[in-house]
Amino acid sequence: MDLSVALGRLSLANPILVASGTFGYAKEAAPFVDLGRLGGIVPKTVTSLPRAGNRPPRIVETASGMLNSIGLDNDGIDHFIEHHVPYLSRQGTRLIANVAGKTEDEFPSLVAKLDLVAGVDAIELNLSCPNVSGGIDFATKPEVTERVIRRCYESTGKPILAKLTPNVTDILSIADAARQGGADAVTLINTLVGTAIDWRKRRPILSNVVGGLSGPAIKPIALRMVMMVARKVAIPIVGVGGISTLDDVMEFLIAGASAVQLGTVNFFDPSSSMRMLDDLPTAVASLGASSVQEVIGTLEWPR
Amino acid sequence: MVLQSTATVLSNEMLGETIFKIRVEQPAIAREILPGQFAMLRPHGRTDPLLGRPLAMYDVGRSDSGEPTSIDFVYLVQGNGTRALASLGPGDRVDLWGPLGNSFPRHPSNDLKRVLLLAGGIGQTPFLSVAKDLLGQQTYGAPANRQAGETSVSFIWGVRTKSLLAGLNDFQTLGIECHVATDDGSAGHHGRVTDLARQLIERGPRPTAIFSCGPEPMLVAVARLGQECQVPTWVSLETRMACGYGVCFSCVCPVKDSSPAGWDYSRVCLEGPIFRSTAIEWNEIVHQ
Repeated sequence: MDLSVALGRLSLANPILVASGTFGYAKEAAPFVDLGRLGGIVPKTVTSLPRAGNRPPRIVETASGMLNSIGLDNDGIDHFIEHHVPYLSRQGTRLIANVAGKTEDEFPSLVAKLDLVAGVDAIELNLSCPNVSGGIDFATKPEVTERVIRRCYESTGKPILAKLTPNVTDILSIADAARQGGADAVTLINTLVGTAIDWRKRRPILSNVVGGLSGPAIKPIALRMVMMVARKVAIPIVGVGGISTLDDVMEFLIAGASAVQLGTVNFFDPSSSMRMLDDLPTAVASLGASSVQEVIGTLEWPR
Repeated sequence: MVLQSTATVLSNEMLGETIFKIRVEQPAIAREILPGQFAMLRPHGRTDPLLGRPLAMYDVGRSDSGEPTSIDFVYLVQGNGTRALASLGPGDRVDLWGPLGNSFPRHPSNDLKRVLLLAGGIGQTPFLSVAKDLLGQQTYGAPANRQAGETSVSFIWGVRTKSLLAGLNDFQTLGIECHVATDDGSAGHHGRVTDLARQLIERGPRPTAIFSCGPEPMLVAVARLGQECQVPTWVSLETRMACGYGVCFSCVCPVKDSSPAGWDYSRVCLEGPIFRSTAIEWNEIVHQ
């Protein structure tokens, strides 16, 4: 069974990746996951300077999901390159670094820095972190999305993935802007903004008041957005949002995702990626296909 | 070795009004888990509630030949997750992963001559195994090379009201000094556990170490007590966790460092849950 897929210029041994912010810097997950078997690793978002992140409480559990407002707690890009890339890049899988800029200028400068780092195979732009106070969302206006991505594209020879927010009225125009900016693929979707309230105390539960909703609860929304973009925009898609089982993986592939990222499932079922990889070949074969590529985007639309 | 497993519930008994003890069959984790460490538990095969719950190892169950086979966890039912756990019975399955986090100090040293265990609320759960380990009554993980009699242990437990003292007998049968405090005066000292601890410390003999686990306001008071009485103090923190193994960055607490701010967030699940009380930037917690 040929499990390989391609995201523009980035080739992957298989379509199962782990999502940024849900897998630490991979070392933490090594007891549960044979890292070399993954299609790729997207470590936690890095920023230009260290960030302490938001005050706790940073998470709330919701019905089949959770809200988080971590606030990009990280030690900055220099620390990432020095301390995490050496480990990440020797795991025998693709390393897709994830970056977030506070300004439009910061994105290309982060990308240019990573361009020089051997072992970083691709760069995912976190255009849509909902948890940075005062932060601007770079993926809610098509012209801003296109401009930021183009500047990043021009700053590196490495493949670029654009992670988009679902908190928009028209995902198609944003995805098309990402394509025009030069992204190799779009990652759909980041979390949905929500909140939780302790009514007895009349207070929001999260210190940041709002957070990003993830987990099985958001899967239908992610699946729909992947399906819509796959039909209308000529760009490879990485599907993410609530994927918890191999059935979920297959649904995203059929809907048009060339690869998927596992996110919240890493929290509540740490070794799930390995079981999905065990079972993927059989599921693909059950469709009469001999490669993953054959099944991508084969959804039959009702007449 | 840290591992994830789907395991069978052997028993799940009610110890008190809202307090349960669940026994889960998992020899590999039972062989390695140390006093103060925890595991994440969730009912198998459902997504609501979604996340595992971090529960301290209460004790390890053994076969007739003394081989570790199962792990006991004592928990207070206080929300969706613990309510779901309480609904499980023998034969039901749970997903669990562990052992996680660090342990309390356990190798013989001058610090461990007279250890005061100071629990608040449901914070007694790590201390049964801590006491057995220190006293040499039971071995957890690799043997700690300790001779019986080197360490004396006393235990002070504060709760809101008497009915929450579920499992007190487990501690009393160890033959250690046990004291209780209740907010409502229904048992033992009427008042705060830290006030009782201060009285006992002043009366002497002074402990050489304090190990504490309980609600945050209590730990703030314990840290102050340890400082004022000049007794090295370790605290086990309980924070909201999603993963329990360091990937989500939810469970952080402020730990002092050399950065300009003087502290940075550390993951309680990885760097903790047990910290020297002097390592924590308590002012930052108090202002949350």
